[in-house]
Amino acid sequence: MLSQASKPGPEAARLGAVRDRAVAGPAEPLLDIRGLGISFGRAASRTAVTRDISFAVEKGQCVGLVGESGCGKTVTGLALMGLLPLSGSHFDGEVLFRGENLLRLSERQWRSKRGRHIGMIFQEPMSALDPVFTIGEQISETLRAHFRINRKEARERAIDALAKVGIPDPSVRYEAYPHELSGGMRQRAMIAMAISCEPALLIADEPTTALDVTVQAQIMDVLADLNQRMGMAILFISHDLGLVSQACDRLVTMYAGEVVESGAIDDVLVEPRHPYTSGLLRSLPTFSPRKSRLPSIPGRVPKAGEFPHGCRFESRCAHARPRCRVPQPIHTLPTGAHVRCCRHEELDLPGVTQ
Amino acid sequence: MRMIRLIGWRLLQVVPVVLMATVAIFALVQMVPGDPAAVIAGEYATADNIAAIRQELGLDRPVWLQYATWLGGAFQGDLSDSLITGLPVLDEVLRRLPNTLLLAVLALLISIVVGVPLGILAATKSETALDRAATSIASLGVAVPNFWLGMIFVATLSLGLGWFPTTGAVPITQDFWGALHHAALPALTLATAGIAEITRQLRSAMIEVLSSQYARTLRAKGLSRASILWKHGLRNVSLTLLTVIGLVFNHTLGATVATEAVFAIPGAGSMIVSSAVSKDFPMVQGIVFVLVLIVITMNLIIDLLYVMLDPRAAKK
Amino acid sequence: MIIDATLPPAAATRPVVTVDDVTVRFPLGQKRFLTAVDAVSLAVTQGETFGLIGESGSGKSTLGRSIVCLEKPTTGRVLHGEIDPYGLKSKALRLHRRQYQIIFQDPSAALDPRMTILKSVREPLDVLAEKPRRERDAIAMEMLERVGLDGGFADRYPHQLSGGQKQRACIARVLTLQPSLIVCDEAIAALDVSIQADILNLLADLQTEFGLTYFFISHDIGVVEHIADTVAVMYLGQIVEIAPAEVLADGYRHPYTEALLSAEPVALPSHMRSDRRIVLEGELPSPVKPPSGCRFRTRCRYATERCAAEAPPLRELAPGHRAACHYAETFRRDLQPQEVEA
Repeated sequence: MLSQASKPGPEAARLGAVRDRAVAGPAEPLLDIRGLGISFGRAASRTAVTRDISFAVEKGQCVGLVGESGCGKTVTGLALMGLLPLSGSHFDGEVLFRGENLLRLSERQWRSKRGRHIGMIFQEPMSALDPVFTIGEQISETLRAHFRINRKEARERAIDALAKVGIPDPSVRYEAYPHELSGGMRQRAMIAMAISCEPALLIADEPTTALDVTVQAQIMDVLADLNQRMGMAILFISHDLGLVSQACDRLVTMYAGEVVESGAIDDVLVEPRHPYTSGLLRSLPTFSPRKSRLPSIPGRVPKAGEFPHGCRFESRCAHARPRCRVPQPIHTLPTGAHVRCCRHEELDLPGVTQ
Repeated sequence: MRMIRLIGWRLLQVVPVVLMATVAIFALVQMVPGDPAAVIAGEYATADNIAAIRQELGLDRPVWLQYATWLGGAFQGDLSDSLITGLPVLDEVLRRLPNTLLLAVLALLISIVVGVPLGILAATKSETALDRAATSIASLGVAVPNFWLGMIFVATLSLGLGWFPTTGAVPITQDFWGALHHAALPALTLATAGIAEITRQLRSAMIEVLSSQYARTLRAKGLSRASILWKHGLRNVSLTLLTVIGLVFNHTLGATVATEAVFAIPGAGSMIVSSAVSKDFPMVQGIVFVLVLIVITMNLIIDLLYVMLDPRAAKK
Repeated sequence: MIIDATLPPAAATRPVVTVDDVTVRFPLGQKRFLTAVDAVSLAVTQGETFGLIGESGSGKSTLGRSIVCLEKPTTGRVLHGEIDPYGLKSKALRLHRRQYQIIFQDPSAALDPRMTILKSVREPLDVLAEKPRRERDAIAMEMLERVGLDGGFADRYPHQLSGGQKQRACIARVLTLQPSLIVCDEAIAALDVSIQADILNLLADLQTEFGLTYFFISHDIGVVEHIADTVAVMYLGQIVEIAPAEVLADGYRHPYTEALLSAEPVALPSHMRSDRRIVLEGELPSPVKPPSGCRFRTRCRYATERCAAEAPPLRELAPGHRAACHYAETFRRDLQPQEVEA
């Protein structure tokens, strides 16, 4: 289980404190995103996709990024990897990785970061792996792009990586093509590739969505193992609150391109402070009596370019008031959690236990 | 070992294809209007003369029997004799074929050497002026008729500038460079369509690869653009390329008929035309049969290369 | 024979669908077969929601398709009430099958992108051509309204709708035929949680209003437990456990059900989550060459030699509760003996 060893609580409060003082020092987070805004298109017709994204990932921490589709989770993940097209994308704010602003990197500098210090895994392992190279070649190639090693060493380390993610007979599977593996094995190979250079941060974008539940459990175990044994920090992007609560220390909820809430996972589950997080949790069938009506969130996520001026969730929110129609700043709570709701102090929102 | 079995299996599959091709050739030639006996007998021949010639040539026998005789001969390497000259068809075909093959192979090489970089360049610079220029050239190459282009080339490059001989061919066995020099212009003419086809197909295949999810993974691993393009991109489009090369070769071989006529090259293509005009049916059958064999062999090679290149195809 | 056992005790009405010893095999060439559904028997009662859980490759979709006459069983029978639909002539079958409809995971694939929503929804009626156009339009509009797509949606095109709205349109489309049973094949799997909740609520409303029966196929055990009356669990083409939904969560009697329940990620804080977490080893064996004896034994932590030698029958443990495990009564160490009896 991923959550046991590094479950936060006091630790989470510490994180918030660090962030609020904004001091760089020994407690500086691994990844510190400050006011990241992403927009596409050229100057006049530019569309903002995300705005004012701020959260941090500490060394060895697992942070869950949740929200419905179209909330900007994936785009945020891609931006952290420098994978958005440089021409046509515009960035605001900063993304500090070990104190260095990633948004200022040239393509060349990016190359030495990607795969080496930050790894990424994707949803569809079949289409995310090159079909005409063996998985071994694809891992070796990653290693050789970042280290001065010969083919033989690269091969050995690739086999190590395959073993690390629980692939049986790694030296045999080294020679396998992606289509020769099952979905679960492919995703393991994908993870092996992403961690082969032992990056400090792994971005996992819906890594189990295409997999069956029992295989999903296996993959989650692999990720938990990396997190706990290798101390690899993970940014876990998912729409599945169950998975996130199982795997993560902290939760960041995104809605319509903004972070609307962040905090220690156990706190948010029990006592969500933003109506959107609460709504997401309450719509899970597990928390309603059998056959009862499920509480759902009416309406849908507004599209980029059609975001309302005020609170972006206002039109779907059961707690909306006229004062919600002005732009909402993000509030920092004493626990170090954050919430973007002007009514957060007066609302008593249901979590998973109510 | 598995490869040998595969080759054996594919060769076995070729047999019915060849048989069907012979039937088709034979049937088509039969459908051509005109009676070779009448042509041979000349304008002033009597009906009896013609009948005698028919009998002598075996043209009075049932069609299927003529076919069987011809097929039986063909399998022993005897494509029967020309109606006009009386010489063995095979000898005549083998004499002229090298000129045609040189032309086709040279045209294919030019198509690949020009088309591949052009296609890749267009893909990497997609939606820029360079891409648009490359695609425009490509569509022009498809649209312009070969023979017309051939005449333009002759008018400018050989008559105007005197860089190339206007017509004719030199056997490659006698003078290698002379043969190339003679073949260059017609090959270039033939290659325009091939260049266009390869550029177009390769461009779209490469764009697909570069925008694929695995290309994103490759970037996420920290690979350079060059390595993504030349290592992964090229290997992935090689399958498309192979298919296109096969098509281009077949097409080029067919197009030699017109090009050889324009450049007055004594090749197999121009021979089909002249034999057909003079109703020399065994000659037409013989040439087409040999050309079909070449096309089938080429396709076989492409198939096998495909299996070697694509790990997913090996299973099937 | 086994039909009666599956009926929930309270609702001993006639089954709408009876699946009797159905096997569906697909030839793979060279005398090899993929047995997607292997000797499955079950009965779906009028007005209930029958949930079918399984992972990919379990044969759940094939079974669903055979129920709505899209996949002829290789052996065995599917009965709609008393009628064997596969025995009907094509015209009679066309009239008959309108009562047995199916909706799929991807609503985009089910809607023609060049047709307005109204036209797509009306299409099944157009095909039947029994009623005048005006009446067909009226029915389609009514059903659109019924699924919450009123007014403006009728003249829109699929690309103008969200995933949830498209699925609503698909539901309206099958409703125009006044079906008695709808197979929902992963119908909400591609939707966001809150939209899933919407569609589940809608399905429940429609069930009450039209007396519908659902055959609800899903990989999501939480969703199935919520809406189903009876739940069947499928593994490698066979049903390994079948039970009333309220019984299954705590009273499961098959190790595979246990693993599925345990693998389901539940959004609970760490101190409230149970420690019992079983991660299955290995992968689904090939349905072309299934293991001998119990098919689950290769991944089962309780398996013994007996499991390899002898295939466990699906046997009744309590009224309406059957499981196919030699050790159904004893494998759970968390239960007291008296609980096992009950």
